[in-house]
Amino acid sequence: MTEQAYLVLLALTDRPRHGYAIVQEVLALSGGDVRLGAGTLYGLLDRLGSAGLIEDAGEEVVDGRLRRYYRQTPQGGAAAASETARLAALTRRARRVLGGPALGEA
Amino acid sequence: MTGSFERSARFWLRAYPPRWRRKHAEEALGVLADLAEPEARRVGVRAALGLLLAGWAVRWRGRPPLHRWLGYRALGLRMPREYREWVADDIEGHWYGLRQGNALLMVAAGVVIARSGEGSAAVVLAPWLSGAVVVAAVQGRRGREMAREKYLVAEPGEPLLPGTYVAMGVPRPRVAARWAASRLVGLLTVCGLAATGALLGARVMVGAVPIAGKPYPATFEVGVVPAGATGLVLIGAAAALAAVGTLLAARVRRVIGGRTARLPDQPDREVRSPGWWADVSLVAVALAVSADAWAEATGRTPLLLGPAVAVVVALVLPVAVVLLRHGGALGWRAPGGAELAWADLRWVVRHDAAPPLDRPVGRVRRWDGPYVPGQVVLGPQRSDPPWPPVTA
Repeated sequence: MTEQAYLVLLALTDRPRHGYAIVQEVLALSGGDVRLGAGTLYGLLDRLGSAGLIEDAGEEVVDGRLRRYYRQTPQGGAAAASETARLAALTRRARRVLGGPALGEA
Repeated sequence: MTGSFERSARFWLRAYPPRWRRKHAEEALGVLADLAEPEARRVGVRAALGLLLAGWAVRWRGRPPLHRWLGYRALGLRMPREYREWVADDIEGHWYGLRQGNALLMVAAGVVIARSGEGSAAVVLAPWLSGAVVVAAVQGRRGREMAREKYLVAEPGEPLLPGTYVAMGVPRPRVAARWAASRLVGLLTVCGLAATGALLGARVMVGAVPIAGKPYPATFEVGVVPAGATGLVLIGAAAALAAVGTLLAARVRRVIGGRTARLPDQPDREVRSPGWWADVSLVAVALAVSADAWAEATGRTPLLLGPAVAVVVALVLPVAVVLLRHGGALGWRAPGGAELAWADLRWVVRHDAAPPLDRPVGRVRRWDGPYVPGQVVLGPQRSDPPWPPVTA
């Protein structure tokens, strides 16, 4: 799973969100590093959707614009959890190799 | 979201295929507007580039494999159902005639022939190019209907979802009378001028050439002989035929003037003026005729098409002019807004009676109706409406 896909999946963990809200949440989760454009966003949503990790969650019209909401599926939750565990294990191993104090504990 | 921003966004969203746009375009517009400045008039360069790349990625991922594509394009084989949306996009797309027809092959063949043969390239190329344009236009229209019936129509037992293609009754399409009359006059005028030029300047024509050395009974073969004054004689003949044409036109005018009652309303009909592709085809035909006439006038080819075109124009052009100038007496546009159809004008002129009512025709179209769970498409039915044929 790519980092961007992982971030999008995380952004949908606590509640369903629409496209722009996902972009903002990904920006917050990545600490301002990852800013998704509309094209990249839809590519990720398509791929996550066809993998069964997210699904449609209704739509509404706000301010004359159509908003479609997306939410995580149970498989998506499991995939996010397993990816998080994988990254945590990787970080632990990296810390052991590099030595804790040299990283300036964050 | 300003109007110009929406236009710009819709333009860049065309990178995505139509099937994607039907599902996501409105939603994507909202996201683009949210991501941009509030008063933005255009989509930014980086966003546009992102849309381009993502759109083409969707097109690339949705393409059928090469062997299936070749089978479809070259041999007309059907595609498996998962690619039906791709096929629908292909058939409904603007350039279907060029993609599927032989137009490109004809252009290439024309170029090859023009460069390999003697004589002016323009003489050979103009008819070939014209033919290619007309083939593309015709393939696009008729080919589409046949292609929908062959590739897109739902199979028996499929659920009737929005987006499924089924046979349904649609209003009968008709060509608008004013458009047809104006184009007819234009085409005949151009061809008439071209034919006159060919007849005036003709130097050689097709004639009988005696075979040297053969005694009585003399034997001849068909060959090229000097035209002499034949061109002028033929112009005189055409003028005489034009007089006949004018008499016909006067009769047509009397018939039209004699109709006082309004034509009946036609609820099951849709009158349209064909788009620019039809004008391009007509221009292509006019160019081909003109190129041939120029070749005949300058002696490059013998006089052959010129007289035929002159005869047709002499007889038909007066009638066409009358139709264009006086057809309005029947009402180009009825009070309700319905336009007069070319078929109606022809019927009135031929039968001096009101035309019969049009009935709906069966066509394969995309079903946009409300979704009823459990409704399933039946097989082809040799039945009358109601369409589409579905279970209750």
